[in-house]
Amino acid sequence: MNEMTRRHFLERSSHGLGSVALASLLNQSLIAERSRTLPGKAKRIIYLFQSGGPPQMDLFDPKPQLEKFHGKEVPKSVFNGQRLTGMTAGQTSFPVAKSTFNFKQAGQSGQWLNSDLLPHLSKVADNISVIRSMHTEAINHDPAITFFQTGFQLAGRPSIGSWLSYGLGSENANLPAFVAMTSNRSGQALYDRLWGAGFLPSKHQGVRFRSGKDPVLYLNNPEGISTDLRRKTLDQIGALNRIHHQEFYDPEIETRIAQYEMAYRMQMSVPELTDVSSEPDSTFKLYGEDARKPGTYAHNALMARRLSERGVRFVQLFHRGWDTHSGLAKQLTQRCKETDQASAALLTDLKQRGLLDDTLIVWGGEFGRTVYSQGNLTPNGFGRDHHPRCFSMWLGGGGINPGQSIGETDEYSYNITKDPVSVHDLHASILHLLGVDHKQLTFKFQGRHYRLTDVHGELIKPLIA
Amino acid sequence: MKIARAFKINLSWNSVVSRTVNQVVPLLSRTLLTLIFSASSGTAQNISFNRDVLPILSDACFTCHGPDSETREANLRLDVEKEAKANRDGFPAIASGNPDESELVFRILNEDPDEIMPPPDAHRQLTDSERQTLQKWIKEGARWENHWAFVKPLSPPLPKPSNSEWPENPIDHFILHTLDQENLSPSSEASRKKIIRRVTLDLTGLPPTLEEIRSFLSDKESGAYERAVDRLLTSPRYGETMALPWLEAARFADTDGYQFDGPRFMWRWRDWVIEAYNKNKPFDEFTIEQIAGDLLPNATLDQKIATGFNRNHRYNSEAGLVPEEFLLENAVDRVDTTSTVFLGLTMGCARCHDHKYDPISQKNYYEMLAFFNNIPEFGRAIKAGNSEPYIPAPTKPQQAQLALLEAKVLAAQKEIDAIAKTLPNQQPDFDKAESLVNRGLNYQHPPEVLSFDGTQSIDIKSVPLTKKKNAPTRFQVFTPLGRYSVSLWVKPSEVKSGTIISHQTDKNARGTGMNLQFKDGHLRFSVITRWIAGVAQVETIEKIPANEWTHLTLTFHGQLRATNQHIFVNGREARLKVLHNTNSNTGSAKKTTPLRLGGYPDDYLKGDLRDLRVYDRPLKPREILTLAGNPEAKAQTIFLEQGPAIEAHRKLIAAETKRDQFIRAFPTTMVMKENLTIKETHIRKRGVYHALGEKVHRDVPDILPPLSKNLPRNRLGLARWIASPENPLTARVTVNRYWQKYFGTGLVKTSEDFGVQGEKPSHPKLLDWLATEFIRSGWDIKHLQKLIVTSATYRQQSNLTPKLLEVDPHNRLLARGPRQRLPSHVIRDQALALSGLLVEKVGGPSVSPYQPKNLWIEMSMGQKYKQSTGEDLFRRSLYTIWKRTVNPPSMAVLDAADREACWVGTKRTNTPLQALTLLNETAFVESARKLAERILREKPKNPISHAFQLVTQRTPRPDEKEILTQGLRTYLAHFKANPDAATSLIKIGTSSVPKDLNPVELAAHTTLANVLLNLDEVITKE
Repeated sequence: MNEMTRRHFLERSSHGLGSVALASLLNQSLIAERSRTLPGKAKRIIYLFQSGGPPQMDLFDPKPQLEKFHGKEVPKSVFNGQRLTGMTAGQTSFPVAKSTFNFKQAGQSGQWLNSDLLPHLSKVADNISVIRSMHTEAINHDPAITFFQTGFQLAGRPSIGSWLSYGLGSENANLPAFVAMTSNRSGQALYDRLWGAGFLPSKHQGVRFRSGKDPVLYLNNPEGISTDLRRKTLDQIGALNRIHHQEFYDPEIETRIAQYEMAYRMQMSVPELTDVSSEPDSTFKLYGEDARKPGTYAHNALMARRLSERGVRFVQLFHRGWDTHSGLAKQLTQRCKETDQASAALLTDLKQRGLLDDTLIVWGGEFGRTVYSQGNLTPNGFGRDHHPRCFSMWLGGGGINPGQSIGETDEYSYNITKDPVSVHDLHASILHLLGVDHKQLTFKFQGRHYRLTDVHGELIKPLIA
Repeated sequence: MKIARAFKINLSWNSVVSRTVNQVVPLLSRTLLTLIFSASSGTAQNISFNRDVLPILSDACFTCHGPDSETREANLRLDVEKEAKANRDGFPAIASGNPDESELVFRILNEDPDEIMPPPDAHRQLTDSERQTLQKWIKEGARWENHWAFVKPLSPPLPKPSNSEWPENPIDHFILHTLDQENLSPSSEASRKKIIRRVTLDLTGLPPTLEEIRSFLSDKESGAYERAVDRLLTSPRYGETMALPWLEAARFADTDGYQFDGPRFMWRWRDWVIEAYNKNKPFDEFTIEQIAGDLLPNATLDQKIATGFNRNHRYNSEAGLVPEEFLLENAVDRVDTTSTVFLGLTMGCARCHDHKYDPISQKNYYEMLAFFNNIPEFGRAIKAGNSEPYIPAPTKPQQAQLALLEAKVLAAQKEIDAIAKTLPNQQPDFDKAESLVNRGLNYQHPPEVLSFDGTQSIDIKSVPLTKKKNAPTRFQVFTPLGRYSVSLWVKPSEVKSGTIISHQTDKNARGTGMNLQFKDGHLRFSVITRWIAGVAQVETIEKIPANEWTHLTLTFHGQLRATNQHIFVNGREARLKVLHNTNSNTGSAKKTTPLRLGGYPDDYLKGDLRDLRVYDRPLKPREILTLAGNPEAKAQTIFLEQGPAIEAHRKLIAAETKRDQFIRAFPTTMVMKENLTIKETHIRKRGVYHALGEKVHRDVPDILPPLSKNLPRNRLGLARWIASPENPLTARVTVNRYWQKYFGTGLVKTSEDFGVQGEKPSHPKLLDWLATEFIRSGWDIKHLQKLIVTSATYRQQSNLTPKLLEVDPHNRLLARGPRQRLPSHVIRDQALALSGLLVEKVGGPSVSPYQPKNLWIEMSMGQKYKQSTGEDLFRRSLYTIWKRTVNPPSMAVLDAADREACWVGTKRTNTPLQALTLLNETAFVESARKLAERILREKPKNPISHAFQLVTQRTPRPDEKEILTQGLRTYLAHFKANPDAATSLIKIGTSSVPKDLNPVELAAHTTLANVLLNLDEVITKE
C-alpha cells in the first residue's frame, strides 16, 4: 500500500495534526470509492453467527414426509457415498429422526417456518429470505467456521469483516469498522482469528466488544487516572511527540499523535455506546428483558443496532450451543428462546429507524445437521450429527428480495435438489449487496492476488433485488 | 523508409494468416506504436529479463500461460523459453529480435476483444509502459535468463566507493554505489547515545543500562563500538532476541490450535533455539538438526529436541475428524513451513495444482511432502498434552539429578549382587515359596479354574481398597492415563473371537474403558476413551494356540499412548502392531464399573481362565516371567522377596521408585521420527486428502539443483541439500531475514517469496555478497549480525528530511539509518527493564503474565487462564504462554504473528488500540509506578532529566524539559487534591507498595512515567 506517500502528500500540503486525521478519513473514502464499483444498496452488515450448526429440518426446511420414515434407516441411495464424521462413522444404524416441532406458513409471503421455535421471526417473515440450499465442504467445526469466516478451511486468511474494512473502511472515525461480539454461553470454541485480518494490515482486524466494564480491551484508564488527568497526559505526550517530529520528520510520528487522539475519542464514545440504560422501555419490550443483561444474545443484538446506527461497517455476533449431538429437542428450544425474539427485534427496530434498507442481516451457522439420529433414537435423548451437504440460512434487509425461499432439498433434507448455494456464492452475494465486486476486491500476498472468494463465487441471483 | 518496410511486413503477415479486414486497423496501430517506441528509447538502459520482463509475464500472463498445466490456455506457456519461441502455425509467440512477427505483441496491442491479451475480463491488465517494455525486450533479442533466485549466488566484486572514507565494511560499498546512482549521499553517523540504544535494542531486545551507556561513552579508543557489539553478542539476551522471529517463523505455540486448542509442551524446543543462537551454532547445523536431527548418527537428546521445528504446527483433536485428512494437513504444514523458512518458496500454491508462477509442479509438491509424511503419528491430536511421537526431554539439571538417582539404583543392585555371591549355589525351595510378586496387587482371583461357555461373563465388583472416604476402588487403575498390569492364565477353546476381560462402561466392545480380546487367533488390547474417535489398540503379530494353557500379561504405562500398551505371552514380550492410536480424551469407565471376566453379549469367551491378578503398576520382566512360571525368574524372585536379599531389594525398589517418579515428571517434547517402512505418497487431486492421484517418490523440486546421489533420500538428505552451499536459496533467504530484522524491510521485501512473483532485491549484488560471505564464514550467524550492525549503513542517523521522504519514503536505498516502532515483545520487555521489574532468567515452561479476566473462558471450551504469580509475571515476553486461538492481547494488538502458520514477514501498524494498551495495560502501568519509585529512590538532582534520560538515553531539550516540568506540577496538584486516586494508582499490579514514599508524589511520578513510556521515541528504534 502506498500509505506512506499519501500521508507524505497530505503532510506537505497542509501542516498540523488535522491533516493526518483527515488523511485517515480520506484513506477510507478513497478505498471505498475504489472498491464500491457496483450499485449495492447495503452500507453495512450485521451477521448473526449461530455457532455449532443449527438443524435445518427443525427450523427452516420442513419435511412432513419424515413422519412416515421416522425410525427407519436412511436409504443407502440417499447417502450416496457421503463422508461421515468420526463420531458417527462407526455407527451401524442410521435411523431417521423426524422433527418434533410444528411448521406453519408465515406472513404474506407464506414462507414455512417453525412456528413453535421461531414465533417472533414468523411475525416478520416478510422481511427475510431463507436459503434452504446452502452447502459447505467442511464437516468439522473448525474448518467449517473458518471457511465461513475467511473463504478457506485452514487458518491464515482474512475474515470477511476485515475484507470489508479493507475494502470499504469505516463510516465513523471514532469506532472500528469491524466489531465482533460473543454471547456468554458455552459451546464450540471461538477464537480471535475468526475476526482476524490474516495477511491484511492488522488495523482491519475485528475488535471484540466484550461485556462488562471494559468493552474494548484496555479502554479504561487505570484506577486513579481520571478522564481529566488522562486528557492532560495525552496533551503532554502529543506536545513531546510534536517536538520530536520536528527533529525526525517521520510521518509515522504524526500518525501516532493522531492515533492517541483517536484512542481518547474511543474512550469518550464507547461508554456512551455500550450504555443501554438510556434506551426506552419499548426497546426492551421489543428485544426482550434479556437485552438489559450484558453478555446475552439479546443485549448484543441491541448493541449491534447501536453500532450500526453509528456507522460501524460490519458487526458480527456469535452465539454458541447449536451443536446438538444429543438431547436436541431441549437444547434447540433453549437456543431459540435465547435468540428468536432478539433476531426478529433487530429487523423490526432497524425498519422503524429506516435503517433496514441499507443494513444487511445474515443469520446462519457453519453447517447443518443430519436427518438421522446420532446414537439411539429416543424421544428426548436423540441428537443429530454435522451435515455439510445442505442447510439453511436467512438474510434480511440491505437490498435483498425478501419473502422468498431459495433452493430445495430432497425429502430427507439430505441432498440439494435445486439451486445449490456454496459458501463462496454467499460471500460473493454479500459483497455484491454492499456494492463490491468480489472479483475486484483483492490483496497481493505471497505473489498471489487473493480474494475472499478465492477463484469461485456466483451471485445468488434470486436473492438480489 | 522505416514505415514502408513496416507496412511490407505487415502486409505479408496479413496475407500469410489471411486476417479479416477489420483486424487490419489494430494491426496498423500496433506497428506504429512499435516504431514510435523504438525511436524514442534508443538511449535508455537495456531491458533485463529478470528485472523488467519476467515480473510482467508472471503477473499478467502466467495464470493461463504459465507452469500450471491444468489452467493452461491454447497449450501455450510463456514461462519456458523453448515453448514461448516455438513456431506455432507459422509464427511464434515470441520471435527474438522481431516484435512484428511475435504473436504476443500482436495480442497485447490488439483492440479486438476477442484477440486482445490479457482478455478484457482478466483481473490483471497491462499498462502502456509494460507493453512497451515487452516489445523493446523482444526487439533487443528476447534474451532469456533463469529467475535470479534459482541461480547460485557468486561473490560479486566490491564497487569502488566514491567516498573511501565512509565505508566501514563491504556492505557499505554496495549501498554507497546505489546512493551515488540516485544522487543521494549517506546521512551522518548517529550520535553515540542513539547508536548504543539502537544496537542494544537490536541485539538484546532490551535498552542499554545507564552503566552500559556510561562505559560506552567513556571508551574513547578506536574500536569502542565494535567492542560494545562484541559484548552484546555474548549476552544471553542475544539468543532470546534472535529466537523470537524464529519462533514466529516456526509457528511455535503452547497450544494445539483448532477448536479445542488444548495445551502442548514445546518449551524444550524453544530453549534449544535460544541456546543454539547463544552458542552460535552454525546455520547449516542449526538447519540440519531441526529438519532431521533424529536421523543423525547417534543422535543426541538435543538433536532430537531440535526436530520439534516440524512438530510445532497446529494439530486437530476434534472428535469428528477423519484422521487421514489431518495426516495430510500435518505434512502439508511441514512442507509449507520448511520451504518458506529455508527456501523462500511458496510451495503451498502447488498443493492443489501446478504452481501458477513458479516452475513447481503439483508432482514436485508431493515429492517434497513424501519427506514429511512418514512419521508415527495418527492424525488426531491428544486433547491436552503432547501428541505422538514425543520423548521425555530432561533439562540439564534434571539429567544431572537423574545420574545421582541412577547411581543409587546401581548401588542397591550391587548390594544385592554381593549378597548373591555369598550364597551357595542351590535350588530354592519352590514349595515353601508362598505368593510371589505382591507389590501393588489390587486384586487376585482365587486360583481355581473358571470355565466359560460363550454365553455369560463373571462380573467382579470394584470395591474400595481401603475404608477411607473416597478411597480408590480396585479397578480404578484402568484409566487411559493410568499405569497397571493384568496377569492371567487362559485356555481358550476358541480363538477366533472372545473377550477375555473387559472393564468398560457399556456392555459392548465400544464402551469407554479397556478390554482384551481374541481376534482371529491374535490378542487385541484396547483402551477406549470415546468410540471411535478415541481408541488406542494394539494386536499381537503372533497367534495364540487354542486348547492350551497360555500365560498372558498386559502392562500399560499410561499417557493415552498405544505405544505404552504391552502384551507378554508366557512371560515374553510379544511383538505388536498398533491398530489405533487416537486417544485424545481422558474418558474411562466409572469408578464402580465391575471387571468382567469372559466378556459381554457381543463377544463372550469360550474356554478356561485362572489366576487373574490386577496390579496398580507395570510389572518388571522378571516379575512377569515369575508369574508365567519360569523357574530361574522364580528363583530370583524368591531370593529377592523372601530370601536374604529382602532388605537390599526393598532399598532397590525404593531407589527405583524414586528414579521412576523423577523420570515421569520430566518435561516431554514432540519430535520427528521415521516409520520403519516408507509410506506411499500420492498426488492428491485438487489437494483433497482422499482424491489419490499418481504415486510419487521423495525428491526436491526440478527447478533447483538435484539431490546428490551421495545423500540419503530421507529428511536428512533433504536437510543436507537445503544447508548446502550449492543451494541457491538458503543463504540468500536467511541473510535477507537478518537484514529485515535490522532495517525493517529485507533487501528482498517479500521475505516469504523469492519466486518469480516475489519482489526483486533492492541491492541484488549486496544480497549475493552477504549470502556468499555467510557461507564462506561457515554459516556464522554472529558474524553476519556483526557485519550488519558495524556497517556505516546501519550506523547512520535515522532522521528524515523532506528530500528523503520524497525520493525514498520507505528507506529502501538506505540513505539514512533504520527507524521503526519496536516489536510488541520489545516494548513490553523494555518497560519491565526500565522499571527494574524484569526477571532475566533463560528458558523454562511458558509463563502467564497479566491478562484481562475471563478472556480465555469467554471463547474456549472450558479453559481458564491461570495467571502466574511472583517473578513469572515479569519474565521476557518470549516466555509468555501462546494460546493460538486467544493470543496474548497486548502482543496481538502490537502486530505479533498469530502463530497459526509460518510467518516470516514484519508487520508494523499504528492504531488507537495500541495507544490504549500502552497507556492502560497493567504491566505498563505497573512498570510506570516502579519506574517512578526508581526515580524517587535514586534521588537525582533533577528528577525530570533523570527520568527522561532513563527512557530515551539522552538528555531532554529545554522545551521538552519544560513540558515535563509543567506536567509533573499538574499531576502533583491533581493527586494532592485527590489523595484516594493516588493510593489507587500506586497499587496497580502485584509488586509491593512502598510505605516510605509519599503516595501523592509517587502517583504524580507514576503519571509522568506513564507519559514517558508512551512517547513515540521510546517505543521506536531510531
